[in-house]
Amino acid sequence: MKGDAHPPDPERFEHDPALGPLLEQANAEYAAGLDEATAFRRLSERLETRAARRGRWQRVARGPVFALAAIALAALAWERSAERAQTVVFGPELARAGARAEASAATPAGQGPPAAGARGGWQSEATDARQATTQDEPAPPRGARAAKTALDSALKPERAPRLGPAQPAKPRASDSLVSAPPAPAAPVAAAVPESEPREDCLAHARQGRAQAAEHCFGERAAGSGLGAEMALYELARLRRDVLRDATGALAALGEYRARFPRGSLRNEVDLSRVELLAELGRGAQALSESAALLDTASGRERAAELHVLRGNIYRRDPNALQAAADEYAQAEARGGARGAEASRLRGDCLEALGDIAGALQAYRRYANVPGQPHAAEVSRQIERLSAGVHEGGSQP
Amino acid sequence: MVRAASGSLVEVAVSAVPAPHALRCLEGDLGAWRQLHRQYFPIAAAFLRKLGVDERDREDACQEVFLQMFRYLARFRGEADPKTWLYRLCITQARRVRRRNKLAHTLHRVLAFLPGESLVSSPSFSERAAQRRIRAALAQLSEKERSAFVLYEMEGLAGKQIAAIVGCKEATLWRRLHDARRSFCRALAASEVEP
Repeated sequence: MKGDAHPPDPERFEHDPALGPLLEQANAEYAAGLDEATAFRRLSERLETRAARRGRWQRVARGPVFALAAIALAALAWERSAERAQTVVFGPELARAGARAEASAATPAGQGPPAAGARGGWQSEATDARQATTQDEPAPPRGARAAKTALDSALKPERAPRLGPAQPAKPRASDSLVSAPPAPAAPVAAAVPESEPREDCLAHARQGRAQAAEHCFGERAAGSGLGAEMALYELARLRRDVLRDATGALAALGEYRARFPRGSLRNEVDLSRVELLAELGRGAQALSESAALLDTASGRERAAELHVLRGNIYRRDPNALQAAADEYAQAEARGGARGAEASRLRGDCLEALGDIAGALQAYRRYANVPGQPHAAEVSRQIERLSAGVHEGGSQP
Repeated sequence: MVRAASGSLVEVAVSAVPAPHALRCLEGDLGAWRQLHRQYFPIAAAFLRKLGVDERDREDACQEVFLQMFRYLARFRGEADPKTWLYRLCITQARRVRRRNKLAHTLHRVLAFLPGESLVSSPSFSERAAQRRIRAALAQLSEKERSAFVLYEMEGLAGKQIAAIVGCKEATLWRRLHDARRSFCRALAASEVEP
């Protein structure tokens, strides 16, 4: 490359006819269902908690910090004086140690350096050992080694507990929101039979052995912890999607809610439960549970899906088409692929209600989103409505 | 994209929010922070998702990103776009989350608490086929490749800007992107073949 000539950036995938729409759709999906207001509220709460904690800490800690600093300074001074006393037993200063030992032996008992008495424990013993050695006559190097050994042996038993095994780190309080599941307690881990290989439940499902998979998940669900949570959720999915047993799936989800009211898959379970209730024709219950879910922060994150679901329930009743259209409008406002789908469904409702202009607008919004699965069908509907071909105004 | 001029702290935020708001942010005005949050939260949250941060981790990670932003806004020199800074914070946070999860997962495997595979396919948010395919393909990329790919192909940033965010030379970035695109296409093609 010469001078400042800069090669252009490579062509992006967005210009690719196949990848472009796919990435665009994924981008819309990734941006959907974000609840900024709730996020800010929680962030503010966290900031307030931190500020309050910091302020309290500063108030409480000011006095003890000064006291601790004073104690540390005093301890340091005593430590230095003790060090001065201990150096006599080692190395070439041994000769001088004899003289000092004599002097220390001459001092009455209990009037030794204050540090030794004050610290007690192994340091008292160390001082005793040192004094025992220094009270000997000008000791040869052997005496020095003996003193050092005595000192070491006096040090060891008390120091060992300080170097105990490292304790495992405790999870932070915020980890309850984190995907990492809580660390299992030792008894739980011990209760898992480690010698038996785990049965691969998903392998049964993949190989078409649905009954075996159900049995396997059922057994695993009888356990505890995250494994049981996941197994219950998978059991519900298996019953719903493979075994077509919506009632059984609902029972599994109900068991999950009862056993793990604050489980890590609770949001998914609640949403799946609403879907199943709708599937089983229990529309009123599905509507009430979805409304409750929409009042929660996690529910609001899935608001687009929930509003579409609610719209689908209302749409079954020919007298509730307006309510269905309203639900779809709320889903539409959330954007993303789910929002686009809601536009199409809202168009259907409005067309059935005779609001052709509104239906046309909704269909056009859907058609403007690239890569939609019903694009061709909706284009035909737009052409038909635009041409003024209305057949009784009811085309659900 | 608006690029901030180098200069004072006020100029940092001028590129993104009106000057009075920037001043109020630095003075600790909650309303101004709210505006800043409203502007950048969707970008940060979506970007964290694209970096593979699970939905359960996303809230914590996003909070951490904004805590960092709030804490260091006064020190931000304003030599770059605040969005660039935000992307960098997100990448760091996503790395932390990944490491934490990896450690937790390893611990659980050691304790034989989890089977070797993940039981739940992906219960995070949407389960639409297109997004599942993109997510599966992105999962095949390494951490650095993923950052480069997402910033270039999905966020639409220029190469120079991405190099500044991920902290590498442009030539390195293009190599990474080349590898990432190849792996991505391969993974996408494989997902088409699978039933």
